[in-house]
Amino acid sequence: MTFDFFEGPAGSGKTFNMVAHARQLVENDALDEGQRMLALTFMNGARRRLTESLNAESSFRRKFDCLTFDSFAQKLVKRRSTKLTDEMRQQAEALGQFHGPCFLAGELLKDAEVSRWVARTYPLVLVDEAQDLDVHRQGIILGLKECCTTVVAADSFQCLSDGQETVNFIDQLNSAGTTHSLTQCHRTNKGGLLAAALAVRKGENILDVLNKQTIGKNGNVHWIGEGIELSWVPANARNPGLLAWTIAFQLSRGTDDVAILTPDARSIIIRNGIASVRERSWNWPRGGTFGPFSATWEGNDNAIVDSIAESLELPAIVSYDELCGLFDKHLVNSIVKTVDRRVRRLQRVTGQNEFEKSQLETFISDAVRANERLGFKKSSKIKVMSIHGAKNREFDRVIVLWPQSVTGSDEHKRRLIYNAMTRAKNHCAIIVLGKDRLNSAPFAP
Amino acid sequence: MHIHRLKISGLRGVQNADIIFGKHSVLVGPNNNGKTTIVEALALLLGRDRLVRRLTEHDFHQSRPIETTRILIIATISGFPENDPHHSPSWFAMGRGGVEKWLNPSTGDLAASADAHHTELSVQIAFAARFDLQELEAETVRFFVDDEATLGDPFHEDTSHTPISSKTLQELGFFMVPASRTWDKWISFTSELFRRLVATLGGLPATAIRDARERLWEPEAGQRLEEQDGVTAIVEQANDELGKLMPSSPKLQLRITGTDSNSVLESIVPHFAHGDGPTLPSARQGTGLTSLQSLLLLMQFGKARADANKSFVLAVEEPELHIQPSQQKRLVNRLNALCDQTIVTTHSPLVAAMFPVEATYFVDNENGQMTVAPLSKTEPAGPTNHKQHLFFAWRQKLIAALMHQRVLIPEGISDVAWLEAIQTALELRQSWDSPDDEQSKFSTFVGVVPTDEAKISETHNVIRHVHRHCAILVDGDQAGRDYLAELRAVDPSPSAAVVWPIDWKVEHVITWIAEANIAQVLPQIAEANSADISNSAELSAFLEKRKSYAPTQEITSAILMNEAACRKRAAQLLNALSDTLLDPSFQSSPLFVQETDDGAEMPTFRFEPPNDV
Repeated sequence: MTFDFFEGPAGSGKTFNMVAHARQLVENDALDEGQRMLALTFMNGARRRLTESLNAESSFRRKFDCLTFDSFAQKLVKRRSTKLTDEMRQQAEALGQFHGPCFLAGELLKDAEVSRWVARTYPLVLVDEAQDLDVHRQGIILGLKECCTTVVAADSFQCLSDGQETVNFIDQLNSAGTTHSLTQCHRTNKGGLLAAALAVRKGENILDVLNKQTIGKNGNVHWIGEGIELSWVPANARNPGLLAWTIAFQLSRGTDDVAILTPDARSIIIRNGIASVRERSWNWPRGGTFGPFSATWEGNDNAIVDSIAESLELPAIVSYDELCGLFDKHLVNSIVKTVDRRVRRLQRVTGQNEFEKSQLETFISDAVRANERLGFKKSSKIKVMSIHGAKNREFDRVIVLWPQSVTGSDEHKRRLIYNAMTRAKNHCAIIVLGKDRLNSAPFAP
Repeated sequence: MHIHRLKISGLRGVQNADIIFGKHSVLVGPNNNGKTTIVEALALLLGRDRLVRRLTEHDFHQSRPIETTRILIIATISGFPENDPHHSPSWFAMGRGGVEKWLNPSTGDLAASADAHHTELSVQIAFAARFDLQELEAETVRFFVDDEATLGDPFHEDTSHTPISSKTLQELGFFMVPASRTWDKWISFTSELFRRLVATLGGLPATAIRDARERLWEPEAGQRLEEQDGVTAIVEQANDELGKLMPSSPKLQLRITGTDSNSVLESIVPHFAHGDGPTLPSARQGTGLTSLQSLLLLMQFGKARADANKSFVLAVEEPELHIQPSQQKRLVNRLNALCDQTIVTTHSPLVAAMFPVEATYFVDNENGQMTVAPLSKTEPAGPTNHKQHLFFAWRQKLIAALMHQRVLIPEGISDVAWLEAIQTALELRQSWDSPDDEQSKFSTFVGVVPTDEAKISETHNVIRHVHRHCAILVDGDQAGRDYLAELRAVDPSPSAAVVWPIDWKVEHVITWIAEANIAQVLPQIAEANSADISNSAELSAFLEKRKSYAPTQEITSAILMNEAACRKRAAQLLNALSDTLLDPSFQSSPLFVQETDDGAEMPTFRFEPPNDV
């Protein structure tokens, strides 16, 4: 039983090295008949991507389960619930539906019978992005490592939960076994981008490593380096035109594998700006136009749910037969098809013959989320998402929109923009809303 | 490994059952009480898929399943190697196995963690079925039970369960021998058992099969069917016709089997040869021989598993079928010695008596509420003990009595002897066209428990645990009345009580039967018993004096039952007694007068001998 910890800055190949190490273990017969590798991630998106990269390796095919911490914890707690004490249940109740099960899983894993029971199927555990884990999910790893061969990857600087204490945990990981420190960045070789990211990470002034340039008649200023461009636009929610133009201008340089990232996906000015980018076009000074661009928001489940519920015209209470009739007209929609199957099964198993609108809306929402989880949704070339949603992913070009509404400590802001910048393989454009922002974190000490 | 406990709900005639099995158990009880349902429940839960036939509506309790109707069978399995989950990874592991439960062997309780009392590693597994009213077929699942208290509906989307693979179940090595045996198919390759045995012992005889296949596919010249006289002409004509229809002119050839390996395997028919006699197919053998050969085959399979240190659990319905008593005994003993656990159902008191009392389970079923209880929870101590007598000397008789729908415990051994003697003599006289009033249904419905003199209360205490319809019969004297009072006070009390007329014992009843034609039978009785008996009173006194001498009872009964008027009285008595015991909630016959109020805990009836001569 070994413990290996891979740490290093963004793009240094932590996941790659972790998977390579696991492959070596599997090839050296870490798994017996019937045993599998357990790969754990914090978020569903990361789970999907890790699944993809594990599936790409023949050594792992059909020999691993990739789960989020939450779903692993729920499974564990559900199956071993008879081991829980009333006290544990009360504590979990107070922690709520997300942290509660993770806390309970950590408690259960302290029981050697339970951790051996897990290890009997999963003698090998893989954890990516461990810096994101809160104390309850940390507990799961600390429990598992007692019984399972464990491989963990983390970069404490990339933790995006403001104020979360990871230092202790990273220390524990460092002292638990072998630590592999990775320093070489493999994602990009753009000198300017690397230097800018390093400046942010160290808390230095980003402008110091970039070259200032004045462009156009208005004397607009921006800062550039190899693979990076930093500019600002006035922050004015009523007039998103300039922001939209700046985004569209960046998109005119290429639309293949582009991500528009923002720390605040709810910001009105940003949402309006993106909306303009999707709708209007602009003239080039020397003739011709650019735009509109079909940029789409990721993780926009609620809108989809609402539109499906609306198109079905569900009454407050509907009988089973009427409902089947309603669904029949919309079965081309895969979500409706999923809900239809679920309702039919429910009727056959429980005999339920009347359905309330709210129950059906829950079903639609579940189906949309399941679709999302399984990664069935078509992804467009230009994706708009939060920096959290981009974790652990990489894109050819990244456009970061940095509004004034970002809250949190300076350290937190630095981690956010560092994460966003380091997603880029080729080029990163940072668009700051409001000029005076450049004097403070995350851009300056 | 063995099955410790089995719970059944909603399966056929069983709405609810909760059974704790011993190492080796024999299930006895009246017909239609659900013995077969218990064995089938085991097969549904533990058997190979091919042992399980498809479920129909009639397998669901009350035969009319609705959407929410379920069959649920839960078993607790224990006796895992080394008592350590580490040695049974397919039973105890996340994702593919169950969760550890710790059994208290003395109470049967399960706990989530081991402690000083909960010491035996166990797992709970379940089978569930629902009937789909659209597809008109049953959906079934087999899964591990994590927490019985919060089980939920396994078919509902809100519940998730870990399915149990048939590979894991194979480790238990459960095998069932159903009552409907298609014996001649057993030793052939269509028989799964035979294939498994051959596989366990070293693989299919592949070379022999391939050689046979070659010979059948390309027979030597001159041996081919189509070249034989008489066939040639037909084949040539057919070939001409074919040639006109198809340009490739295919040639008809006749082969004995499908000429693939599977056809060869399936066409193997077991034959048996006795001494130098002809080799005959098993279908031509007596059923006894094929039964025996096949059970021996099963035992070889069990032996192979035992030698490999693997578990083997066997459920056999009616091992006595087609097998003579001397062989039954050896067979059952051999099976018990071989298996981790055997569960046997039987209608044979002889087979049942081969199991100890604590392994003899009586199956009782009242409107779907099944109870299965051992004759005694513990082995009785001390040879002077009355129970010891009941459980050893009379075990076979006791078990035979308990297989009836109603059980009667008489006060003394002479009641037992007389009821039996009269009944036997009456039945010997019966033919298809005997008049109705000379036929008795007593022995069909009522079993008489052998009991020591004055041990009625102790005997009742044993029987009431296993049979809910248990009545008592006492003398018409003060002692008899005292027993009535004593047993009325126990909980539960007997389901009914019968008392002979004031100051009567069973011998007076016999005299009453004789009085149907006393002039005719008295001289015969006197002569046959070499005694001087001149009237009814003397007859009663004489019989009482000889009450422990069986020949007197047998001779006298034979003489009485030879006389039509006495037969009529005996039949009248036995039928009235039978009716009274079958439904003691009211007075069904003028011969047995109800002494207690309606609805009494222990309805009591007094025999009122009619004087109809």
